[in-house]
Amino acid sequence: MIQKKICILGAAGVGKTSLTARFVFSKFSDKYLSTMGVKIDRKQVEASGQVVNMMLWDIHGEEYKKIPTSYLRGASGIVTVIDGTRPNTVNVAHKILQRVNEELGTLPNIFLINKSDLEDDWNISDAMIQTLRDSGAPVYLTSAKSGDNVESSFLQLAEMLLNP
Amino acid sequence: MSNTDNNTLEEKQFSYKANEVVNTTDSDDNEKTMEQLRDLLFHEELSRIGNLEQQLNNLNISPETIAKVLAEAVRVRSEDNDDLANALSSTIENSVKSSVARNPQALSDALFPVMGPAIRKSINNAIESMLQSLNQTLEYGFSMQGLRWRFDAFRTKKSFAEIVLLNTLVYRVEQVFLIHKESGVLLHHCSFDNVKNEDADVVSGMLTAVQDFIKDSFSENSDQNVETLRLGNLEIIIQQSPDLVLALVNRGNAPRALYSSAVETLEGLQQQYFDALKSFNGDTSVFESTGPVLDQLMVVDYGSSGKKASLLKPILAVSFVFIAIFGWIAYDIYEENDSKARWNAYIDQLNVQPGIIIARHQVIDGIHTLTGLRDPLSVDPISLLAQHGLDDNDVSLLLQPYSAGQQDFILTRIKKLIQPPESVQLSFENSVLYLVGTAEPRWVEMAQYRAAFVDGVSSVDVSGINSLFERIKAALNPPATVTLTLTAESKVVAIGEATESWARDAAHNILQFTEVSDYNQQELVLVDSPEYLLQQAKELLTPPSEVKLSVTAEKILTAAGTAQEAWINEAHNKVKSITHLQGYDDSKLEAYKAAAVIPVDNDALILKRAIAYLVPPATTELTFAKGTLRSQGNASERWIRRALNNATKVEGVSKYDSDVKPLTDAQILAEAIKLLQPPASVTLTYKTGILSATGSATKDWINKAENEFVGVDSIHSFYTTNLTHPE
Repeated sequence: MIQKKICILGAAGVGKTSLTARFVFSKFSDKYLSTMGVKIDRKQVEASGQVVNMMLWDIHGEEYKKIPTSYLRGASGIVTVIDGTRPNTVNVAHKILQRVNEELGTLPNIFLINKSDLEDDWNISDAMIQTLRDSGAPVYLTSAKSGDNVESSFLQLAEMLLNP
Repeated sequence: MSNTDNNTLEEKQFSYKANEVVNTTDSDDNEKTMEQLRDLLFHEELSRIGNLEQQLNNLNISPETIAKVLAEAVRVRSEDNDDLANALSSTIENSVKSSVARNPQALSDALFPVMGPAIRKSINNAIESMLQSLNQTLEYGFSMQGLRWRFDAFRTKKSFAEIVLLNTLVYRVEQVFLIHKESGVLLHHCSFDNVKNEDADVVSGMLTAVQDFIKDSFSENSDQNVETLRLGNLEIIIQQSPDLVLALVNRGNAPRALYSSAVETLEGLQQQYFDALKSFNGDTSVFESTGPVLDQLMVVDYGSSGKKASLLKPILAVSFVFIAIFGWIAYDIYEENDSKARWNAYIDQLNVQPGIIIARHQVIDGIHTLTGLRDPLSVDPISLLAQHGLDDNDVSLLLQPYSAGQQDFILTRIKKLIQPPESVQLSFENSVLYLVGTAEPRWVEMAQYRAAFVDGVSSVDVSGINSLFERIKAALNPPATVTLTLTAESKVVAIGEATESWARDAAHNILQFTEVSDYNQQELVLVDSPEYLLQQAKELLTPPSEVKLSVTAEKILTAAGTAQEAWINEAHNKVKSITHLQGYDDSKLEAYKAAAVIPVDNDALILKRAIAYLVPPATTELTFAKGTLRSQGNASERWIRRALNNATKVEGVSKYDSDVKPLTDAQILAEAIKLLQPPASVTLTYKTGILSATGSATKDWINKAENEFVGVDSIHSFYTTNLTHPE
């Protein structure tokens, strides 16, 4: 079986934990996130005809500077989460990725712009989304609340991991 | 070579020379002569070559030929490889089959010398292991320890086997995790009961994270690693190599040897899988083969099996049975003995003692052996000997301890266990324990809990217990709105709402309890005090500023001043809902003469509402006429969108006409500069929602700006990565 470590990153409150919970059944309580700054879940998916065990490291996003390098080490892929109602989280996402690139080199990455259900408060312009696409990573508008695009985006990442 | 041979050769050479002389004269005769010469010289060799040629031409190898070389050939072939054995196996199988079919006796005779010892050995093994388990059963079944464990099993509702296991287990490695160090990915996992832990991979990740967390949080030296995590009886032994982490989940006290064998295993694996680890891409199938190596770490040590291999106890136990049987016979034989009557009387007396059961009495070599059960709380059997004129040298007591069911014993045991204070009386009837008297709730709870564990007690009745607290409650009789508490320092505190009269009575009644050190009711809200009533009235009636309310000592509410007639009427009705108020006097209230002005919902008012709701920026102007709200000027795209969505939600606005242009980049930049106040060393630029800063600034300014830039509606990102700061 193939096992891959994936880090879920992003500013505080963008919905990393909710997205992960949407995608998997959580074993550990969210308490770990506040005490240790990390919580690990697992989801088995099939990609490119192979079974892949995605080990999802949901890492506390208080401030990008505080993410311990040890939690990032050994990661095969990154999920960068952005809050669709808070443009500054795009900024934070860029900074986090820059740091990850410095520490681990370029890794397969997907951007999830979350909270797509909050249409009234949506505050990310198409131009902004384009700047994310320009980095070469796929961008998905997701909703942890409705489940829109959650499964498909993680599956896309699994495909990217197997076909680098 | 012999002399005669030498002579012959000389003759041949001579004749050859003679012929050669002739040769020159007659060439026809030459051939013939050569033939003769050849025959003379090589006769023997020629006949041998002839034989060889004949053999080669006629390749029908005779059995005789093969027989000569067969054994040697088989040996040489077998040294080379196993092909011959493979080729022959089916033939041999078939020949064995046919041999057995023809005459089984021959084969069984041949095998007997081998099979005999093998079968004997196997039977011996089976008997030995059976004896061992029998010994163990006897050892634990008959010993004091065994009885205690049986009692534990009964008490804790676990199986006897489980209790034995828990008590004899020194340590057991229950799970082994082999983890890829860098990523925390689980490479292989084994567990002692071969049950697959579905979450092993998640656990492995968390183990890695926990180690990192501990290391990052507490270790000054990055070379230090977490070696042990402990939870009660369970410990996780962690060993690390450059690419691997090995975690053993162990129950009990593992010897240091386990640590070193973990290290050795890990070093071996690191070396063996060096290449696979260097090129690890998440495929764990390579590491399946580590299973047997990891299995070797799943060690179990049952301490007593080695230590207590002595057969003494089982032999003793078996001896009891035999002695008992012989004793029974002996009893009959010694019946006629003159001391028989005394012994009988003694045993009869023992048997009527509560907590003593004599099952067997036998006499061996003049020693009376009494076998049976005795509760440790019962009377000492030795002390009764003298009454019957018997000597304690003549008696041997083999009494196993047990818990007698007599009520007295049960009560004594309970008393020992719960240690009741003097104020509590215990009684025991029909397996129910009754507690009567005064005691603290904490003790009652403990007593109830512990007494339930005593054999013979089916339930504990504490209805007869009156705690100090309950007596206080009964004496003070607080209303439902009051909460009483009794602190550990014997202070009583009353909190909540009560009437003045209750508070007065309570303060008096508490005095009868000398145990109470202090009584505090300062937190009590006195719901019928004039102050409280006035406050309630003010909250309920919300009097206009021209009206003054007051409450008299007789709890009568008076209102004086001027007010709207409607308010006066309303107050008259509302005041009835205030409980504890004895009356309402509004004779000093006067009504306004003129009617109040009712404001008209005009255009100016609607515009005000719209501005308050939509909050336009300074660059935007709103106007309102004939139900239509109009906007003009410049604003952020976000505000324009929000206004379009929300304008008609303003009460009175039926249509919204937007003529607001989005802010130009220059306007947005100006707004950002105004808000962020960048120092001269910083240049701000703005484009499509992104504000960028270049130059150099203090960290403080950068932090402040990063937090505040969201104040400008149009900016959604702020890039400061090109900024340098002097520190």
